[in-house]
Amino acid sequence: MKRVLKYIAEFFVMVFKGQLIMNMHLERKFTQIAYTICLLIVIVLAGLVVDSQLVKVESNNRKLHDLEIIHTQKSYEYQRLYRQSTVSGMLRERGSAVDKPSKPAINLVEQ
Amino acid sequence: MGRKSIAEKSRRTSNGLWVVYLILLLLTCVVFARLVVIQFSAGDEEIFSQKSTRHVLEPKRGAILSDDGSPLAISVPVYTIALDCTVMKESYARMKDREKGSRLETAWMEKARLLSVGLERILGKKSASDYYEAIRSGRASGKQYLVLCKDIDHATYTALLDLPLLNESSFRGGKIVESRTYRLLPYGTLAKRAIGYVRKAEQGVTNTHVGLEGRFDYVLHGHDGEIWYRQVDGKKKVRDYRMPYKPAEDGLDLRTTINIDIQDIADEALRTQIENDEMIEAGCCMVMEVATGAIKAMVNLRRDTTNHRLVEGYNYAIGRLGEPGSVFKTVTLMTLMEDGYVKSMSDRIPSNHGQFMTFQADEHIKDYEREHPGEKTIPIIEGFKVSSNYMFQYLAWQAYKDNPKRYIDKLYTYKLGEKFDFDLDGMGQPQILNPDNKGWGLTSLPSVAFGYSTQETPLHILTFYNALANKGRMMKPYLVESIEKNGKTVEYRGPGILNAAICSPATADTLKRGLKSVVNEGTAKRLKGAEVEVCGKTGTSRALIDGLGTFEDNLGRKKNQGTFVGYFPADDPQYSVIAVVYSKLSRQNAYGGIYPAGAVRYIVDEMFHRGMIKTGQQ
Repeated sequence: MKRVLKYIAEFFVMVFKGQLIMNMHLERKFTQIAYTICLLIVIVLAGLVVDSQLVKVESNNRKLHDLEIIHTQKSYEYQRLYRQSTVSGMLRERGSAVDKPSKPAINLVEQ
Repeated sequence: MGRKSIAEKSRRTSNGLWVVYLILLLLTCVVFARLVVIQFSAGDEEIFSQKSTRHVLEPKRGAILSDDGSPLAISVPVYTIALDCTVMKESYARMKDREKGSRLETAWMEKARLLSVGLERILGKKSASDYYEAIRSGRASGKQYLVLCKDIDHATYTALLDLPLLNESSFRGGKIVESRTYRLLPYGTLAKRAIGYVRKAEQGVTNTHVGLEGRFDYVLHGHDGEIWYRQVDGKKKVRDYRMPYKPAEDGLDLRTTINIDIQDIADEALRTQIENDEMIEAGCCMVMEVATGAIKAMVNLRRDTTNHRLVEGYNYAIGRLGEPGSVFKTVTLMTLMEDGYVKSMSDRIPSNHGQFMTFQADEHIKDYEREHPGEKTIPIIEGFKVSSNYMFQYLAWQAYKDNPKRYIDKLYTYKLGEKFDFDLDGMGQPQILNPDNKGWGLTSLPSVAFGYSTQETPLHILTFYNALANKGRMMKPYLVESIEKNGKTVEYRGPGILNAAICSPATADTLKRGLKSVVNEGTAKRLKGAEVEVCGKTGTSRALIDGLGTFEDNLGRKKNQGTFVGYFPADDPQYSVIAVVYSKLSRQNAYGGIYPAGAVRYIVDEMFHRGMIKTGQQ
């Protein structure tokens, strides 16, 4: 058990000091190894960036959907007030003297 | 010196490489550690994977619009929120650290308490303690579906999602959300029956597709789409672009011919006439544009049997068959004129004390004879304006007794025997007694001539009178102007012609004289003095009583149908109108000259006041 622990400790020291690469004679390939690791990291980071953008897209889609629904409901509430008998009733309730027209408006036509 | 600088340079390079190596090592360790964390942090919830899930995209149902594009029916989602009271309960109970489990359970119940307070504040239907007690007892009894609120709108739903437990995932908070599409009618009950609805086929429900919603469901519904989602870091979901995507095809919009102002006027007109008379069980009213046949208003009211209020129910305008009564006399008169048996309204016939065959003697003729002593004949216009049955019995008999089929065939050319194609389902099939029927007898021809022994819908009668107003050109009544997508026309339906000429313009003009006299001196005096001159005819018929087969029961009660139909302005017809009321079994009469004429008077005056009738005023 002590020996195993000693080997593990030595392994980590070798990795930290860079001796692992030297011992495996990979020092000539160091550039390629570094390049590959950088590439992997870039790919992962790019994927995370894309995913975060997609999350924003989905969030914005939900907001748009919510706004569409709110717009529909507002249109409904607005249209409800358009009915003339509703407006007449509201005016009466508030004691207004404004009433329905008793004659049509005179149309001015450009000659 | 050279050896020292090379060694120095070599040492610096070595150090630089070592730093680069360390950075790369660090980054690799970070990535590796992150992978381990992601793999094992999912816990009891879904394990992170790249598996995509398919979701169905529901289409947005198309709107139904009025003639100016205002929405008559639009869709919004409504939500039902329920709670799974048992969520996380077992997990907390099974925890090795019992104290921690107990703390978490207490925290969950505290959130439930805060949720209850929020529900009381937002919904206001129950007290916070009631909500809390329901959740607490639900959790104790293992209730997995506790409804907190039903059919709430989007704004309320969004507000509720900020409350504790509901702002967490379903697996932690127990939130269950169900949404469905709800159809809103901005103008309330206006044209509700014409707009209609679609409902699920359930036990006892036979008619699932009603009105425009039912007839044009295939246009309004749209088509489902599909989308695939995959889970990403942070347990969020994004669209999976590797999988097929089909966007939902939203339903198309229907632009109708209904003018909401005219509909409002017609609704108020009919309602104010019949609201306070409990003996009137139902009524209908339609306004049609003469030149095109476009229906600008369609009102159908029936008296609710529980609260006696008037509600939009059965479509009487197109579905209710009834003997038209005296409004049919115009049909007979027009046929006689076209066949040359009557030259003008001034033609005279023998008065004969109003007696024809075995029919009851006509009191109108007797009145005329009293007012004009010595005269043995009566002009047609006089008989027409007082709606004399004798006159039409006599005229029809004299002209068609040897060939009644000629007269009946003419009725079919006026589409009075035909269930023509219309934008709503449920049109009644008219019935006209004809010589080929077993029931045809000696009195059948005179009976048909004054409006009995036939069954017509109000729409058929209106279509006929609209043709008269249109100088003989019979336009096909229609409700749907076009089908649109995002404001652009996809399919234009527009006007159509049923019969290019049911009569000559000269006949139509001659009849106008008679129809004017009905209003000015006859049975439709309620319309005399209206803001614009109206031409029209009243009609009052009695319906056969179900189960008895007679017009009157042993208590002298009867069921009436009162009608007024006409057009205005008389000399430049722009609109035709019909109003019909149906009485319950009672002793009183529902004359066409009372409620129906009163309703039309209101419509004419209001439309004039609001400038809807072109009078050339500048």
